[in-house]
Amino acid sequence: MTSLDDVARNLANAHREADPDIKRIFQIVDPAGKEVVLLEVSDSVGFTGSIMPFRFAARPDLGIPYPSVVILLSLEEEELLDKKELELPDTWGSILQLKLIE
Amino acid sequence: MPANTEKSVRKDLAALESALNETPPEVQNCKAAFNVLRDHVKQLLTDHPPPLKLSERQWSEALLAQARDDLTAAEALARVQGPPSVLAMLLQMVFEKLAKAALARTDVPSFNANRTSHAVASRLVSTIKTHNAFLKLRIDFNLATGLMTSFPEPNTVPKQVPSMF
Repeated sequence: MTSLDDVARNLANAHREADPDIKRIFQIVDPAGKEVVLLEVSDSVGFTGSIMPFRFAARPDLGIPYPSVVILLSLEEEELLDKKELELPDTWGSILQLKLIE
Repeated sequence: MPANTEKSVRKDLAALESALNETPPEVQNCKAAFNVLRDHVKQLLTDHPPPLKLSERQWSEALLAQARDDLTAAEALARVQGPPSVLAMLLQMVFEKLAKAALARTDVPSFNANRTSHAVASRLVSTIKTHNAFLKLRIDFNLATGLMTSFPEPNTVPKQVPSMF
């Protein structure tokens, strides 16, 4: 089966195509290796001041064999996250590994 | 905000201000007034929003049912070429409830954090737009976006509104 990292990269590419205003995409590494979690920073979304992780079912028919989670952030929200004024849910653990997907 | 806690916080603030304005200020009085205020603020933060009494699944199912009803109302309004602004408001309600239903089912802390937010609607639409190639939607999202960006003049709303769900 395709690895989580490969699926994350494929999803990221598709998302960049759908939203050309995406500035950065990070993969939040799932320690359990069960789902692809993407944190995407886009100029096309407005400020909400909240983290809203929307989960989607796997689509093995489309090459996505894992469930996925997409978190969209505005540039301002990314700044707040960097300053720890905005936080990812505690349930995800305190030490999250973020990988920038080029 | 619970009214009685709000009243207490206002009273505590006044007491603290009064203690601080004493000449010379009495440190012990100020500390005591601050401690009372802190306890009430903590209580306020714990109580707001009020704790969930139903299970997450019950919340999710109730929100989905509301979203369906709002969508039915939107479709009925579109059929009689009702006011576009009201149609837009109903569609916002549909997406808001769908978003909260999804969060309640899959991420309870995020549901709690966002359950009084209206912004969940726009964030869900943006997320669907980004991820639409991997979703089973009944209509082409780009077509729907095209319809929204070229919203017709009043009284020319299409009689058949595409159903996404």
